[in-house]
Amino acid sequence: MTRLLKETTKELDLIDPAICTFVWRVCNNMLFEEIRCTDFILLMNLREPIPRIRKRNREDGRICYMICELSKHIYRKNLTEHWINTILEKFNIARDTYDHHHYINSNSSKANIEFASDIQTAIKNGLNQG
Amino acid sequence: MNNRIQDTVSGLHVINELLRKYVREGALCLEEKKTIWETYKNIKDTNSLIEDAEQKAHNDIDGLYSDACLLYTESKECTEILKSNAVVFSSFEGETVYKWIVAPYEKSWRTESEKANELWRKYSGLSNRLDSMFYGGCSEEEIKKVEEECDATNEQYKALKKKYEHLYDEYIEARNKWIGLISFDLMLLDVLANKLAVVSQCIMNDITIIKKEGGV
Repeated sequence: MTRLLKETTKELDLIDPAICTFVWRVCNNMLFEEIRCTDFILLMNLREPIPRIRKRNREDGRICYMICELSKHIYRKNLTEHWINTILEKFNIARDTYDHHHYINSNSSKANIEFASDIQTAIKNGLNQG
Repeated sequence: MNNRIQDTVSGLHVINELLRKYVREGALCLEEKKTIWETYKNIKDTNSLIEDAEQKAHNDIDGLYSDACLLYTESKECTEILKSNAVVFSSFEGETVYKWIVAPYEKSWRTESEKANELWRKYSGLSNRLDSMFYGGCSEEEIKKVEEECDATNEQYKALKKKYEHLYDEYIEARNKWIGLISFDLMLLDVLANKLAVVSQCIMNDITIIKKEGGV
């Protein structure tokens, strides 16, 4: 069946705005320059025109971790790779960097382990909203 | 039967009424806060709403337009109330509401669990006494009496254990159901209302274009 509501269809979310909201609270003004929550949600949902975002210096690794964790919650799994690549492009991070730096484990610095825990809590809080 | 958009309009209407009361009286009771979150949770899936609207566009496009108008009005109303009263809404106290909902479940299973523990202690005591009676030269009649009491206590314990395990499951279920309240605040509702305003506007725009092009 042909879709009739063309403009409306573009409003289908790729990722839950509630999850984005909690993640934004952790990352805003820390990994990237201040951005409005609504713009962050638009960015994460690749809504055109995709809002600009400016990463902070030396935050590539943590941004990669954030992207990796969020990518696990993309509604349409077949779009996950496309989503990761587009978001990386918006943050001006090379795919190669992402492939090598999206992990945070027990050998990481204390600050990074805390950051990872904050991201996990943020995602859990978002998921708990239903 | 209501469709998804009509349900969302009704939900937003309930929320808006409560928000107005919040502004008017400066507070809401826990039950009302619970209703806000429960309703938010029920209407937050905008992807389902869009899919439902698409279906309705094929069957009843004029009805869909009316629903979209109502949705636009209610969602704009919601964002306006939230925007103009940010200070009032700064503390939703979802954790308090959560504790209030979950506390009776916790109390129920803990009370029964304590009773069961008490019975277990009684049963253990009787069981030990029986052991010593077997070697202590007691009469069969005396042993039988304690044996019966021991068995009866064990049966009571088993029944109570079953009861408190069921109550514990209910407690865990309630915790899982309401846990989202702890982290909920009205910014999430604002994000949703903004999104619903955009979606309803898009539906109206789409229908206007379809009509202009002579479709449906």
